[in-house]
Amino acid sequence: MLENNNQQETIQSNESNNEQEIIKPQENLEEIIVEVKKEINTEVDIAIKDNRDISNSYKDNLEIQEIAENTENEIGVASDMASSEIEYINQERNGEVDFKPKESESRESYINRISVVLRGMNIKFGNGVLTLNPQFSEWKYLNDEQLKEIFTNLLSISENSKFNKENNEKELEKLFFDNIISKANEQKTNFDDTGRGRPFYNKDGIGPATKLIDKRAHYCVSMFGIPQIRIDEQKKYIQSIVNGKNICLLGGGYSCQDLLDSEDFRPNSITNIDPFIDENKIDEIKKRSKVKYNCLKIDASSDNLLEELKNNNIDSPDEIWASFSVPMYLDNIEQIESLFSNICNSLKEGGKCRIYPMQISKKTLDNDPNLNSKIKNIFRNMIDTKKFNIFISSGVSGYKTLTIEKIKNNIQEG
Amino acid sequence: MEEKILKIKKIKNVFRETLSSIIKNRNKKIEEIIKKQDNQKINNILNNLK
Repeated sequence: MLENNNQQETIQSNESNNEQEIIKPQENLEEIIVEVKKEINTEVDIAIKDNRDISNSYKDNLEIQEIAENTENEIGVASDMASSEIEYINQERNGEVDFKPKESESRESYINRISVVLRGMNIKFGNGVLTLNPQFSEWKYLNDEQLKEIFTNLLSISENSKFNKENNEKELEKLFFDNIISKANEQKTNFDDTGRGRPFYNKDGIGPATKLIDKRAHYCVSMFGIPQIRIDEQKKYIQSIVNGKNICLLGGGYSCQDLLDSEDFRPNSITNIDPFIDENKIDEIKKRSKVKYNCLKIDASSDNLLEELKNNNIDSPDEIWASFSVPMYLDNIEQIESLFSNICNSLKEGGKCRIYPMQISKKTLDNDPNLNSKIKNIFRNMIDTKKFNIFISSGVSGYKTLTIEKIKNNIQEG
Repeated sequence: MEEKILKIKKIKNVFRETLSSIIKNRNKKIEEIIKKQDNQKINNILNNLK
């Protein structure tokens, strides 16, 4: 049980500014939560639409487009924080939260639930306005003992889940690929201008974010929800995902270089599927790497991908990670279908694919108004095979992370 | 229970204020950019006239 030290501060700040609303006796907490979340979502949708209209009316003005991009991100973060705090209020009992894992909770859903509640628990109000500094903040108020409790709980959950129909249906409802990247970014034709060198983790922890969106968000925070490794249990959790595993990066660029010679983590192999990588740099990386490093200059949505993996004697991946790459930069539903087919077919049983952020380029979304329902169909078919679980976590910076788990054959349906 | 409901309603209000502050901030920044760019254009024209 963890106590909320900031509770007083959180509650009092806005008291004098707002009129007290009359609560009807028949109103119950769950109904109110659904209603408030709905209202917040509606306001977010309106604000984002208005912001995009502004962005579109200044098509050739990159400075204004960047402002609109940051604004959209801020709106996302504010809504994320409000939802987190609502979730905290829902789960707390006398200022305390029970962090025991729930039955049938996967590792991903557990860490996501805890992150959301902690985020909500630690939000501070300044002059009645949410302070927009939530990035990676959820763990920093915990002492080592509290962190240990949470990560010991996490490690007690089995690495592999059973097929969970009910949960998959809920996640499918939420499945939506948005685009909050402005045209300013899409005008980048050279991939080297983008953040292609994200580290795997941050040994020294993370200070206050200077920008709300950190495009170099490391893999540990974007894929697993862990901003900083402070205690052994956290390290053990990451080791259970990485050590001895075959990892495949989709459009990995020059990222995860710190994983190639890490003393903390030792994968069996890293394979980078990236058509835009410089071959000279591959040789340099291979020379430095202490783990088996492969690079295939091929698109992750290519029809030949599985054949290429086989021809190059690359083992089925235990983990597939796509960070700011695919499906974000794909052009149409055919490529997206092919990407997810490659992911499902190449992934080892018990393996997981993690995609961050859940975004697709504005151009691709604009060209196909039904794109999201077509993507939903892909996932509907995936779930109907009963071979996959999907999970959407709150991610970081208002961007969501999608995890696809290929269920082990010998694990029965839950 | 009532206390929790009140807290949640307060969050909604704070969120609204936050949203409004984000929008105001954006508008202010856009105004500044436009002003800066207009001044730049005027300066360029004046320089060309010299």
